[in-house]
Amino acid sequence: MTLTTRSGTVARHARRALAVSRLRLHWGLWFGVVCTFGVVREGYFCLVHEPLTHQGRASVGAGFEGMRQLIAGAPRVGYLSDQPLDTDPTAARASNHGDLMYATAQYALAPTILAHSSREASLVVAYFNDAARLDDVLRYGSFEVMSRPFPNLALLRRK
Amino acid sequence: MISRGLKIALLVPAFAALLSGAATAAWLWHLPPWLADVVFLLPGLALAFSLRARGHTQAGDAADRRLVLAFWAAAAVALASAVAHLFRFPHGGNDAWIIWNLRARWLFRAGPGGEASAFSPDILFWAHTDYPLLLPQLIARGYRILGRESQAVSAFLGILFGAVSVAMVVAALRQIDRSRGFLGGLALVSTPPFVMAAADQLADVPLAAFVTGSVALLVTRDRGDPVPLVAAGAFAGMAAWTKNEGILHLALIALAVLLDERRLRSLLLLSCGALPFLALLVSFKLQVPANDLLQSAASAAFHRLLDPGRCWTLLRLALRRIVLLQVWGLHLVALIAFVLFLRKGSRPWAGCRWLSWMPAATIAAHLLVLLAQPHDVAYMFKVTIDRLLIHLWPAIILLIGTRSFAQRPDESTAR
Repeated sequence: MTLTTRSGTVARHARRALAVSRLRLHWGLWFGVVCTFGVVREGYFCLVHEPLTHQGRASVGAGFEGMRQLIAGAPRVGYLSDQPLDTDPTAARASNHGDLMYATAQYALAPTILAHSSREASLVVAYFNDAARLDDVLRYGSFEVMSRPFPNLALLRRK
Repeated sequence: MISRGLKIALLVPAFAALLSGAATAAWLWHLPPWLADVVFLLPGLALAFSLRARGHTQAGDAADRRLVLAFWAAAAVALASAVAHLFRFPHGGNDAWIIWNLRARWLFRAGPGGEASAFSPDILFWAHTDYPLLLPQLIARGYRILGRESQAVSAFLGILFGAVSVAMVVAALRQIDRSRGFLGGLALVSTPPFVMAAADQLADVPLAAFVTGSVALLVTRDRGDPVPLVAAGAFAGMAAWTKNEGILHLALIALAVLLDERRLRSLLLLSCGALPFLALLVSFKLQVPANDLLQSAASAAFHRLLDPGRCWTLLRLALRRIVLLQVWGLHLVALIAFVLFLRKGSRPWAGCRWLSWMPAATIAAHLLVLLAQPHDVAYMFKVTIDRLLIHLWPAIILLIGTRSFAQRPDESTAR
């Protein structure tokens, strides 16, 4: 009777040890799967997918470089665009593209402030999505063109 | 006592933060630059010398060597991926150049005396002029050392902060168990969004490094030694001076220390460490426009918080994020599996019971902010949730790695 109990106890311990061992084995296996998936995901995206599908972005706002010389020293200039901007922090964001265009111009022209709501600044950076609309603005005659490196991009002086 | 490896991993981001803090102090407090450097670097050096470290040598077996090999292989793939991404996008991800690199460029180009223009309310608020200056000032300082702007500076810093986060996790966990160190490191370098955030030059990775530094010091310190507590406070202060979210991390780490230690002295020591960076933060916040989220009326925020439609959207998006393998791979699934099935059978590191809840409390607080903010909850969730998790991710791995599991009595006695 005692022997039976002992062997039962041993068997129970052995079963438990085996279960724990299996658990550890599976834990290690799952950990390996998680890490391998992550490494493959990183490698695939950056070393295979991106080179095939993304042009990349070697520069941001390179088109504005010529303007920097012309506005150097001006603490702030106006900003004009055909794309609306999100200017109210309490309102839902609605003009992602316009915000990104402004950010590009501001990144390139820092430390000159692009005052998006200014109506008085004598110098104005015009950055349009549609070049024809910039032509329309110029036809009204309120501005003279100081520089127009691209059809949709110009530095204007208020007349 | 911390290991020598952990001490080195901690000193790199700490001195980067001190160099950056000194440059901002010179501007905000009208100090001569050399004096600001002395004021910031001397206490940092004193703290570094008084933080005692010991060599850590543990022999590894064959299984250990395989693990080390797996870690270095994964780290090599992560580094190659990050560098390849950096070459395609040298200015960093959108937020990097719209916020952090823009500010660095501005501070460098404006020069001494012209810094204030970088925080003008005339700048579109999405440039977030109120964001703390640790990273931009560090990049600008790099430009000053080089004498010109270079994308290599911000790219190098992105990779550096990612690498020291990994080093801190590995070194802190190695103090407990050699193989756990490499397991933790492997878990971190194989996390796709963490590697991408480092390559994208986002401030989220430096923030993660500082939070991890603070947690690593709290976990590995000898009870009764005040120096690691001061240093942990300094790291939490650096986190607060990196991003606004860091203020929440600092508050929750301080609360956890108070609850774990049940002594006001511990909280005071932690606060002493955080003080220089908190002083910078307060001085800075008093000079710049208020954060856009604070411009919404409290009653409106409260209504949004209780809006069942927003709550349901957030819950749906959160569940979807866990199983959406494109971003996090299987890492979030593994974390949820750990929380549901393994956490109960384990115990947090001695004296860190409340600290182990810090990541969960931070995520809960962030979800409440997401509900209360005025913008579309789905849009804001998509653009912020991965970063919020990245802030905590190395600390989560570290805290899980330090837990003792009931099935392994050898580890629980190793304490």
